[in-house]
Amino acid sequence: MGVTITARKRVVALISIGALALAGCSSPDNSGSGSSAAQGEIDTSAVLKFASAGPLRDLDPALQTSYGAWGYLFLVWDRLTMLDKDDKIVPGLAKEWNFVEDGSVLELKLRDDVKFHDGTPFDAEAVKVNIERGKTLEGSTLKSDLADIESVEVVDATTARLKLVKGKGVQLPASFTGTAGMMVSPKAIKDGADIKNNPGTAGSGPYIATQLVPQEKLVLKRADNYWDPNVGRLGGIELQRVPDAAARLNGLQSGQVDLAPLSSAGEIATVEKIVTPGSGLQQHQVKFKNVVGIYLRANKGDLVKPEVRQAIAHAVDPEAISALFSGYCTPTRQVVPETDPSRIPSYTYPYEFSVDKAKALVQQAGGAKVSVTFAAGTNAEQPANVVQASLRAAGVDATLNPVPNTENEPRFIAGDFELMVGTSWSPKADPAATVNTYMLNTYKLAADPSLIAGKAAEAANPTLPMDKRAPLYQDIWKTTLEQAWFVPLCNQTNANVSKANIVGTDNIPMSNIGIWDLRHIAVKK
Amino acid sequence: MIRYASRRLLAAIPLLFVVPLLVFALIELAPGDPAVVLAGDEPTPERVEAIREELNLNAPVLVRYAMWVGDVLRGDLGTSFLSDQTVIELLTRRMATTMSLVLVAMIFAVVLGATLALVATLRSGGIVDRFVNGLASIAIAIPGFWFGLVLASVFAVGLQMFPAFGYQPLADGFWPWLSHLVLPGIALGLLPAAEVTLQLRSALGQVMKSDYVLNAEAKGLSRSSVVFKHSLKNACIPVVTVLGFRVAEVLAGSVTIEMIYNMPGLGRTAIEAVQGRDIPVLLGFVLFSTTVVVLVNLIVDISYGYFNPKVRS
Repeated sequence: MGVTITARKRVVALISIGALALAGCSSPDNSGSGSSAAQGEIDTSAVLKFASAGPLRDLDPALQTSYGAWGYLFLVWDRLTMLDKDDKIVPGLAKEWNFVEDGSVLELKLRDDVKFHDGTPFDAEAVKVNIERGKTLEGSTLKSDLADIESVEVVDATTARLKLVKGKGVQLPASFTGTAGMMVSPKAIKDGADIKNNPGTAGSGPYIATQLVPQEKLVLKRADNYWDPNVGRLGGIELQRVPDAAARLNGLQSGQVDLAPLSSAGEIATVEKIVTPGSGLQQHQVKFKNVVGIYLRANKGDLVKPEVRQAIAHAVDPEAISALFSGYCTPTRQVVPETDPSRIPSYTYPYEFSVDKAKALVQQAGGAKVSVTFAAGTNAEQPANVVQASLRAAGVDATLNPVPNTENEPRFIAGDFELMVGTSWSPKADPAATVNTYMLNTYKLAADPSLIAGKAAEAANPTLPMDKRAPLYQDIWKTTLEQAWFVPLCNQTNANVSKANIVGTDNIPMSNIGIWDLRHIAVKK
Repeated sequence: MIRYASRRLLAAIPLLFVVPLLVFALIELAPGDPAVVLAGDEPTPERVEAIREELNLNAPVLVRYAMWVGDVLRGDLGTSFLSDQTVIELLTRRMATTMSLVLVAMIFAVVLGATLALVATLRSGGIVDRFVNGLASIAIAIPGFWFGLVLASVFAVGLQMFPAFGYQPLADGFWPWLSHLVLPGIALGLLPAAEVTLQLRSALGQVMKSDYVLNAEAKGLSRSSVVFKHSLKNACIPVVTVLGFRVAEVLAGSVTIEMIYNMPGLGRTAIEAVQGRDIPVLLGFVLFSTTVVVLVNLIVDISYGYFNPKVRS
């Protein structure tokens, strides 16, 4: 694996280029030859070279500021629950979870065959230590995730009971699929191990971190005797941070990289051309759950007027946005994907694309002025330009406001902008978390919370089964769309591109939100 | 000479503090809040305020500047907001990448530039001379980032002769180190190579018209002997002095090349520090860059005096 430049390789490369040229007329190979099913004999000594743009600051689960870093951590730290590739919550270190005592307690039944790599057994006490650490550690980013837990009771080694804040905590099994559910050895915590930079054997995950260079690379080796024999089938993984998608693509083509996710439309169009039979590459395309859309602050500027928001919803054509992405952005009028129970069945969006209707509404409102904010140099840039042009066509005095990529979301959340075109709307594993994040709490898009807060509270009852909760969330999304607090436009497409001998590229959980859980990846001999 | 150098160094010290002050002011004037950026995805107001307190961002800009100067005088450049590494540790590690890149680029520039200039001079007025002149003029007009992309596409992706991105430390072996530097080094060295070619060719042209060269030719010495033994040394004076300035240019150019080739060098560090509002790293980088430019200018001035007795007197 990796790059070793030899004369023989150059000859092979030249032959490959010739073959690639000959194969140029063939249709792209999207057959998913990286299917988990078509595995063949696995090379358990192989070291996978993986490149992504994910930020890599440190490895402490309690200090992560960006979802983009989760992929690195998944390989080192086991979680209480996990998501499978279909977004279903599946057992991790917790075998079962149930809300008991009228939903005031979340009871976790834990695996009894897991040890941290430092020899410490994983048990209910470890769950208690980790949750308490996440709630109290200075600078912990888990405090809001764990706020619904009042206390943790250790019943026995394999049973932990989480006492919940009244009427809260329904989203916890979903939250535990991320950093909130990652377990660190209590011994390592007690001994003051450097969990951030050199966690060593403090995890129980399928791999052990041997080298971390912040913002550059993470080197892992396989942890022997991992509890799940179908996971951790590589000798090791070298995860490099390569922010530039073109560089990742070059790395794949030059053989320097074995597997890389690509998300920009231009790169995916290139991938379609280069992944051909005989190219030695394969791709697996994933439709993003994330929605490209327009975030509106309905309590700011001219957006206070419902007619203006409705005009904006009418003015922008999702098909035009999709065309910007060469068709790799599927138009949508809903805020959650087909797999989400809160998706509204047989829904007709109230604001179909109509410039005339938009114009009429703007006139009715006596004109409007908005600033269209977007992250410069990202996938939001072109859509923002189209949104601005569409709004101007509808009679809105719209100006563009490009801001650095690191600032647009936090500053929108802080209330600096009235309208933002973004690609970040990311439905969570549980609809309660999606509503909390975007409508009621962090983003606070619900300018009039009273319209949805009651239903949100009712739906957050942990004792209700999902088929009872789902209609309540569907009503919340109907209100969101009718109020035009958020205008969904399309779902982008992501591609996991790899060498042909990589197995399991069709089974990378969370790659539909731009995160990658590589636990199932292997290499054929 | 020592007194001259000391005077110049003392005169440069205020610059080392004025430039970071300007950077402080620019950061202050830029819209947005570093704490908001550092709070990451979906930050809460409480977390943003906690970061502001922790990083002392609520203090007036001059107070923060004074604290920074105090820390610098104690040898502490602070800790990166983004990676929690000390700025000195971060810059030192990444400096090795940039210095390696600059070294390879400058070697490429000097070797190629001098070779082309000499070949052109030996064939003065002929097709080769005109060809070299035209080639160098075109090379000056080629943007380094575009040339870098072309090199990566042809030699890394197409021919797989060199890595497409990244950097390997010299400790990992000479060839792994060099192989990662060849393409970015050529991309970065193209402009100074063209400049050296034109500068040296021009200087050689002037020197070749000197009386002592005409005398040497009248004695029947061969063209190559006249060029190599009698002309080259004097023609190098302006080239050597100008090369110093090219080092600063190459350092600046390394920013884009490091991004294209995903090299963990100072340029990429600076870009990421700006994007992530990593103020300590940004200030450390500015301090380092200012020091380098001051030192290079000083060396250039000294070398100019050394090579040119008229200036020395």
